[in-house]
Amino acid sequence: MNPIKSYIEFKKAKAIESQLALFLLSLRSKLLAGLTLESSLKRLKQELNNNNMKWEISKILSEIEKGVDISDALMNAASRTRSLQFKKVLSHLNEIAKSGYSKRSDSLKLLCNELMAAQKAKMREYSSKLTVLSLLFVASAAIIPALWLAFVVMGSAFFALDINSSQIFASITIVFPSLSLAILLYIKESAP
Amino acid sequence: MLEKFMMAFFAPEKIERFKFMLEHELGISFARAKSIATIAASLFSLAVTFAVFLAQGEIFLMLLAFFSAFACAYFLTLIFLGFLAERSLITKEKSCAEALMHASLMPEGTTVEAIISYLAKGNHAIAKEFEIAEAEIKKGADTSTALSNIEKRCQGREISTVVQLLRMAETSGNIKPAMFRDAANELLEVRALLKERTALLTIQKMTLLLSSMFLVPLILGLLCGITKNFDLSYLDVLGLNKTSQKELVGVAAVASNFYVVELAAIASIFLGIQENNAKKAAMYFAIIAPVAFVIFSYASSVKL
Repeated sequence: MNPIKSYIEFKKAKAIESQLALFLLSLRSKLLAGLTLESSLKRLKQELNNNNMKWEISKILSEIEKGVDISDALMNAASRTRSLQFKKVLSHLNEIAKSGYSKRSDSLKLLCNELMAAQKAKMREYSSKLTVLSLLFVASAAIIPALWLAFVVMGSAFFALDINSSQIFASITIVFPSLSLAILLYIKESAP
Repeated sequence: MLEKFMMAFFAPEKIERFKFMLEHELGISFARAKSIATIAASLFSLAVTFAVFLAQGEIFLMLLAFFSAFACAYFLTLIFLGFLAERSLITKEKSCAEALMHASLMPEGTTVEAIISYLAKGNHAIAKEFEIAEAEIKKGADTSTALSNIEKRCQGREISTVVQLLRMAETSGNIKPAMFRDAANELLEVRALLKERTALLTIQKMTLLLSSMFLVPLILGLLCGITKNFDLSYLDVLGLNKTSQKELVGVAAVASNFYVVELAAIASIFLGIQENNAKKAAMYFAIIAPVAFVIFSYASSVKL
């Protein structure tokens, strides 16, 4: 599989998973208020901020409008996504589409609690990682360049270092910003 | 003129929304907001010009200080008014769960109109909106329309949830207190999750802002200042090359200037990405880069 396509799909799945708990909470309250699954999805589509999730819901709704059975539309969405959590939610929704939703079983609440707990655990893990990464960023952006400057400026006089002015210029304007950029990209990528 | 200037940066709907928010949340018209901004900017620019005059600045500097201080203070006042209006709206959003909890205290079978009337008398921020809806219903408006108007006026996710719930209850005629309690709990759970996420983003944001705006320029500036002020005469005594040493110090200082600006650009882009708003990246750069540059210049001029 094309690695770029695979990466885009992975990012899409991650974006969907980050909104899944909020999506389910809203969906549950609409179903409990007496709306059908289809009209709940229609309302949710208007409320959603996440483009990936909105696209998936729009796709499901457009398939339903074209005459595809709601169960098939949900299963088509499950085959499109790489997110296992979203697949699980879609399979739940399929059950709801077939048998309706009741407060007594409240299966969405259980699923929602499970997703929220998983997301909170991820956030806690990221939070502890972020403290170290923030320190690393500050070190790479401020302390290492300062030490390097002190070393090359003074060291070139005493240790007979073979460093010229263009090398110093390149190291400060290219190497250190690239290092900071790499750390920031890693921070962004590992965000839940 | 101000509107034409705003049109260049913002969509017309956003400008209209800004005007409406000022009127609805703060009770001031756009014309009045412009007058307030003009008065605040005039006072501030006069104070700045007087300070430049006392510092025995030239006439050109005084004029420059007057116009730049006026422009900055004018837009900052408008931004501040917008912030106050936004804050008032957020307070209303936050009171939605409380309002739903109040609604859940009503007995089963209560009409939506009675719930609106009850919520209008409540001691929470969103009560004002229900008061307007109640007045509209009394004037003959449809209940559903009055509720939709709240949604249009406030445009918040939580307010929208409350309104939709009431509209659904009105359409189906099936009002159960548990329904409101569930929705209130849902709002609180969502808020808790979002708060946790925001807290994480705040750490990232503050790390970026503090390091790119203060820490990096300060440390590098101090170091550049130290190396610039070194007495290089000892190099002659040691038989080392003083000329190339001076050149290296000069290049390091210029490169550090570039680095400070580059880091400000990287930080701004990341902050913009974090907030899903490319325009904000430019705004952050406009704030971070000058501040970082001033700190760097000041730190490099300090003699330790």
